[in-house]
Amino acid sequence: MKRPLLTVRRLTLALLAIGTLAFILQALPVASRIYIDISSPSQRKIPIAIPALRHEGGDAAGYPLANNLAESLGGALTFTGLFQVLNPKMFLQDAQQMGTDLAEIKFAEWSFLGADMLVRGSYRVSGGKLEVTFRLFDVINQTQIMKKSYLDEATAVRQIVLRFADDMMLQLTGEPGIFNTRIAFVGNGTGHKEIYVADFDGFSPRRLTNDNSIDLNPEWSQDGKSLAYVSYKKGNPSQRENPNLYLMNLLTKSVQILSQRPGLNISPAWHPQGGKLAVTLSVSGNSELYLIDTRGQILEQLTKSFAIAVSPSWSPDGRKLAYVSNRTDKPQIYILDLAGNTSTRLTFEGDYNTSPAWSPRGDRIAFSGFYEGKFNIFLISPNGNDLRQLTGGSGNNENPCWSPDGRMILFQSDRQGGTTLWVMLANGSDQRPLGLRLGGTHTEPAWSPRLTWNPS
Amino acid sequence: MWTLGSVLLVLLMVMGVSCAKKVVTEQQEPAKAEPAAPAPAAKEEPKAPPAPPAPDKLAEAKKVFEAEGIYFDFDKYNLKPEAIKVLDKKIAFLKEYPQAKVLIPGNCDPRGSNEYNLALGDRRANAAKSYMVKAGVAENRLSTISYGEEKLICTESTEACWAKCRRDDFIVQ
Repeated sequence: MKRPLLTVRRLTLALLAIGTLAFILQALPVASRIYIDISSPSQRKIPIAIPALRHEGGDAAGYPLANNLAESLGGALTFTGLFQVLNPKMFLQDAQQMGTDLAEIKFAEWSFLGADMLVRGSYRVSGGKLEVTFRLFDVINQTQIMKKSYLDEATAVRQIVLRFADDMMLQLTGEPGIFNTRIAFVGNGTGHKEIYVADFDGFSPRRLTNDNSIDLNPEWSQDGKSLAYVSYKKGNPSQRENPNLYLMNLLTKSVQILSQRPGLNISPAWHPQGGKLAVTLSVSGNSELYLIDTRGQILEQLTKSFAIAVSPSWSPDGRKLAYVSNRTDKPQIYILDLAGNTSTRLTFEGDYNTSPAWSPRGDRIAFSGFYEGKFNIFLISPNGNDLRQLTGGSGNNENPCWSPDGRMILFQSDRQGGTTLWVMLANGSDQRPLGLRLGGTHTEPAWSPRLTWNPS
Repeated sequence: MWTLGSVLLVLLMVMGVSCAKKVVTEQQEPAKAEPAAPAPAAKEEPKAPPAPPAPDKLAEAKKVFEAEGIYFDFDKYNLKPEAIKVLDKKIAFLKEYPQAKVLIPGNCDPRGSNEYNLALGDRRANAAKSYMVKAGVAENRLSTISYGEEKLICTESTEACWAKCRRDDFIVQ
């Protein structure tokens, strides 16, 4: 490498600002190189060119895929907020004519167009199968960063693209992407609040429950195979309506009751190592946090006070819980240290702070706070420092949750009218609606971990 | 939530089942007048064939009882003086009709997190229940449920609407 690495320029700021890079470098295979520091607070978007893929034979019917594949990849990369996908209309060569191998790439042209990276792909369709080869080039250094082929059903265009996008993110950041993740949320398009699930980017929303009741608080298990949620549905007609906790196995779609004690059974939060959940029960007459197992047995009562205790969120190491208590008369966020069973108040600004969400990296807690008549999303570090407001302006922004890589925050906002899901980078930039193609309001989002299986 | 059966059951419970004539009345009346909603249980009762005075009185009392909720300040569950007055009337009703059981749903306005509001609604329902129990109403005659912000009775973003949402209802069961 004669030229300076792309990385060095990109990361100057980050190196100065934070020490997390060292951690990421340690975690990397030796051969890899960090092109993107995903923990940098001020990442410049990388301009990337993705010309239509070259059709390399097989069925002619597969030809329109050339654009679909490129656009689909562009959409996925844009979603991360790390890339600026260049408009293909300004490309100088015909995508079907230009070469695909390192020696054939005209780097000067791509450089002239402002691209720092180039994805050059090719594909063939035969016997109902689609084979796609993606090559990722570093335009500045004129090198090939990676090349990978994927074979799947001819209809699995999006799946192939997302698999490459995940591999590409692993190559560039040292960590897999979030393209094989789902989001769960509450939708009321049927006239009842039901639990829905969609792809990470809001694509393909589908309803999971059909309870005709009030369903709330969806939460993914750490393996992504179960969803805990609250429903007011009655087990049988003679039963009294009550907010009870349920567990849905996403592989079989079977549902079991988790807790149906008198009073509240709400606010599930899976322990990061699985097997148990922190929940709010008011069986004692007061809402308190409890630890229960997946059969609903109480393992431990975690809080005991005269005050409300709801919305637990685990630290990634499972040793602490952020939660909401109104022991000072107003809802504020507290941190419960399970070792000493001590609660420490975290938030002091404002008099209404709720919905804490501990980041996967452990260094931030997102929450919604009520100031000057509006709810907005804030970040604070677990030691109470570095309070930052991420959203502002018109509307209410609530219920933040983190992407599994800790780079993005999903939340609900009514800034454009009906409440729907929005996403932003963890530094508050790039705020945009998911654009769910689904009626009604969309609330209480929960982002799955990376999935090792296909739930749809 | 409110079925004809449960309404029948309530009327049976309250009036006692000894009087055959009353039972006949009850069978006819709901078919004609029972709406799906919980509120005006026996508004059209007079249309039923010769109704004895007792159910009339009960139905009227029940109507009055259920029509009046108690209201709370934002993020509060303490009983305000007006609420105490209403609760005292509830207690009087429960003393007059010792068979009656009551469900108290606690509600919040839409501001704030669903989860916190569920807990707040629970508090509001329990605040009313505790007061009534302290005044001598048997605990097993009162049950509570929190709907948090899930049963809004209006949707305007005004204090007037929010004030109506922050309430306990009282439903004779």
